[in-house]
This record gives sequence, C-alpha cells and structure tokens, in this order.
Amino acid sequence: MDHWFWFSLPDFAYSFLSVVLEGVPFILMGVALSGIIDVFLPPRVLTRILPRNAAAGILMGGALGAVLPMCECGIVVVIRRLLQKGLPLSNAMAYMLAAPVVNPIVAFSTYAAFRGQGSLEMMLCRIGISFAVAVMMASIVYFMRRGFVLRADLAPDTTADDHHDHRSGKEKAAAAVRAATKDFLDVTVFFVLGAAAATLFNTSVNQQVIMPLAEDRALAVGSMMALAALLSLCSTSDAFVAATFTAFPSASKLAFMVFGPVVDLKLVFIYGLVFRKRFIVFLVAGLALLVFLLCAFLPIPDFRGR
Amino acid sequence: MKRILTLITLLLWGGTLLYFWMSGRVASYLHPQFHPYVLAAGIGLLALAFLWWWASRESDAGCQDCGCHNGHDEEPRSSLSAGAVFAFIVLLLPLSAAAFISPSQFGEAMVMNRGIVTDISQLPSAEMPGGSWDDAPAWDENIDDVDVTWDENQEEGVEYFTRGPDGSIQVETLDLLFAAQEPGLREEFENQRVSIIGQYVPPRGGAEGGFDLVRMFVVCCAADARPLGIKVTGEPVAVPRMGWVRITGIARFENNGGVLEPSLELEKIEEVEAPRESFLY
Repeated sequence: MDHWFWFSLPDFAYSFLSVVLEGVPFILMGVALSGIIDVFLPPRVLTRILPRNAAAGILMGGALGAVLPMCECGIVVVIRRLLQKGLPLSNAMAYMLAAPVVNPIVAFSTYAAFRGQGSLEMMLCRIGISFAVAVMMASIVYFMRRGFVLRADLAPDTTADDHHDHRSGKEKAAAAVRAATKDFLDVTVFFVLGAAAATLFNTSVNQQVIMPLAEDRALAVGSMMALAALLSLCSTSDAFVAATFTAFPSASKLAFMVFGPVVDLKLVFIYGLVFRKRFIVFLVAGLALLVFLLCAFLPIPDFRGR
Repeated sequence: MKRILTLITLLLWGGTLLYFWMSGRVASYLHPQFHPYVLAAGIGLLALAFLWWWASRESDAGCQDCGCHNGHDEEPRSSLSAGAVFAFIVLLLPLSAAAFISPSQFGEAMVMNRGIVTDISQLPSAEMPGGSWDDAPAWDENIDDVDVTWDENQEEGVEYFTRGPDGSIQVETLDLLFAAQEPGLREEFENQRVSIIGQYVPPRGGAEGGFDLVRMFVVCCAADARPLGIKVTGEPVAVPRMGWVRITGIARFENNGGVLEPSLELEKIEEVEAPRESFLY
C-alpha cells in the first residue's frame, strides 16, 4: 500500500452527486408524508388507538411507524407533543425509536439500496432488529421514574387543545406544505453534510486501511455504528450509504442502519428538547450496547444476490 | 430573504434533478432502476417550490386575519440567523459546485483507493451473464462442446457473446472474471482472441510490463462502484490515463496466489468513445 489518503475533487464531486441523486427522491417521499401527518392527523388520535395495557402499548407503539411513518428528525417534536397530551412514556419511547425504521418508506429504500446484496433479507433484518431494540429500550424505560427521563417542563398537559381546529382545508394544506418544506430543508442539510463526509471517506481513503476492521465482525459492527453516529444520515436514505461498504459484513451494515436512526450527532441535540441530559447519556449507552450485542452475536449471515 | 432563499433552494434542487434526467447524465450516476425516481423527485420539488410560494403567502394572509401565532411554524419573512445562513450555504453550494465539477466518471484516485477487483468472489452481487450468480448451476465438466458464442441460427442453448469482424469474441471484463471461476467457460476463452472495452490504467510510474483494463461495476449508484480489472501484458502505449480503449488480445488465465485471474496478451489497442452505459451491472 503506497498511500492511505488520495483526494480528488472530481471523484469526490461525482460520487457525492450520485449519493444525492439517489437519496433525494426518498427524502422527498418522507417529508411529503410527514407534512400531511403533521397537519391532518391530530396527536389525540394516537392516544385513542393505543391500548392501555403497558406491554401491548409498547408493542403497538413500536409498530405504529408502519402506519404513521416519521423520520428521526421529525419524530422528537411529535413525541414531545404526544407526551404533553398524556401518552404513556414507554409507548412514546417505543414509537420514537422504532418509527424512523419500522415504516414502509424505509423498508422500500432499504430494499432498493441493497439490490444485489440480499435486499429482502437486509430489509427484514433491519426492521426486525430495530423493532426489538425499540421494544427492549421502551420496556426498560417503563420502570423508570418520569422525572428521571423527561425535562421538568414536560409535565402532562391534559388541558392542551387543538389550536387549529378552526382552520379551513386551504389553511391546513398550506400548513402541510410549509411543514414539508421545512422538513425537506432541515433533513437535506444533514443529508448533504453526511453524504459529503461519507463520500470523502469512500473516495479518498485507501480501502485497504479499513480492511482489518471489516475482517473482524465485532470490530466491523462497532466501527460501522460509530460511523453511523458521526455521519448523521436520515433513515430514509442511509441504506444507500451503508450499501456502498461492500467489503463489510452484512451484520455491520445492519448495525449502521439500526443504530444511526436512533443515535447520531444531530439527534443527541434534538433529544435535549424532551429528555434530561443524564437520561440522554443512559439512552445512548443503552442503545449502543443493545445494537452491538444483537448485531455482533446474532447468527446473521452475509447476504448475497437478488 | 428567507422566503427567497427557500424558493431558490427548492428550484435549484428540482431543476438539477430534472436536468440530470433530461440530459441523460443520470445514466452515469445511477442504476437504471433509479432513473424514474430522479424524474419524479425533480418534478415534485418544482411543484413543492410553487406550492411553498403559495403557502407562504397564505400564511401571511392567515396571520393578518386571526392574529394568532400558534402553529404558524414557518416564518417566511423572518431575518436570517447565522445557523440559517450556514444551512442555505450547505443546501445551495455543494450541489451546484458538484454538478459543475463532476466529470461524470471516476478518475485514477478512486480506482487506486478502492482497489482493482480481479477476483469475482469479491463482488457481493455480480450476476452471471444471462443469469444469477447464486442460481448458477455447477459447471458440468463432461460437457465440452457448448458453444458460448452467439449463433443466430441456434434457437436454444448458451448464447451470450458476439464475434467481431476479426473473429474476436466480444466480451466484458465481468465475463472473463466469471470465466476464471468456471472451468468449462474458461476453456472456451483460454487462448482465444477476445475484444474488450474499458479504461486504461497503467501502473503509477509507467506502463512497463503491461497495464490494467478497468470497467466499473455498480449495484445502485456510482458511489458503490468497484473497478473490475483485467491485466494486459504488452508494450507501453501512448493513451491518456483512464482513457477509454478497446483491447484485442489473447485471453489467458494465471494462478495468482491460489486465485485464477484472467489476463490479455495485447495484440491491438484503439481509443474509443466512452460507452453511453459506462457501468456494468
């Protein structure tokens, strides 16, 4: 190996553009849905359909993303509102951790991105492990004091009403467009930064340097989780970045796609809107441990084909 | 200001996606499966730009009517904070700069950083010519009369390749890499004259003793491209590095550290136009 780093601006620009062209349609799909949900589905509907039984509530919260998809950037704001309206903390936690992955948009983008690398298996494993992680973490949170988890200013507000019931359909449509546009701009900023960081790594670093990481499964899982946290990609498009690490085992790419949507640089800041600092440290450490154990030790083969 | 920048951002992104689709440049970036999404997203973003312009005016009218502040989350006329300025720079600059700079093909740095693949088992998703790698039946050593070349009169059978005017078998780098792993297929190519299109990659420091003929293999997009290489032995040639060439030569298969790798004994090299589909899938 005669070099470890060789930067070429044309190569960088070319590879970066290809990631952007591939990911943006999926971001757009996500924000269009989130804009509609944001405005046309009042949070009280969610509190009505969730069961009162704690275990059933957690399981349903984890699966709620299938019908109410939300990316990780938008979900924290929704969760804050739901908590203020009295949604049980463990249900909200399961929804918050699962929805960015356990939803049809991410299932579709994961399937598309892993074309030729076991697309169906990767999609199912990603959804299954994410759901399991969300349910396990929500179950732990169920036994915690609300005061340890939530910020003091997030007491349930049962008097909260729906401010905009008086809005006309036209006003609601306009609000949905504004919400979708805001989401698109917010998410795309992080996506551009993440895609640029990933592209810099993928085109400039001699891949032989990271080969030792790819050869050991536990090391590969740990390093891909760290990379996911650093890159802060949106869950609707992170599969396209993960799929480019062809030398890495499937389990480590799953770790990237399961961990990234629940813990990354931008999310740690966004979590501060809802949770106490001590709990954020606990949440990040707990999620890191769970994802690492599941991805490093479950018998996940290297998927090929399809 | 924020309203104008938001509008410009949406128009730039939508316009860029549409331009890449309409100009055909998208073929150098994405697997054909993703091309319709680029078109749809381009149209969707332009539509969102117009809708957003309408919605921001609607917001102004709504505020004047009801005087409320809740729920009007977007404040189109608000002044720009430092964070917003940074966000708009990130949204506008990298995309336009990359679209302007990108040569729509990789250079030598990427090939050297990613490493040239000469063993087909290193590709997670390579498909055999005409079928799936995983579904491929084991080659029957007893069958030695299968004609792998194209025969228009033949209705059934293994018919994948055409022959050029000089009788050379027209193949891709991927075909020879597969042949290295399949004894029967290998026998059909071994010591035969073949013709392949690819990019000229001489070793750094000169082409003494030969060079690599490289073609990019892509699963989804250019970002996951892997350079597939065939070693070509022969005299040094005056061709630009990474230039597109057609090589005609005799196919050989050599054992390199326990792995059979294809190589070509150079007979003829000619510069050619880059193919419209520069990737192999």
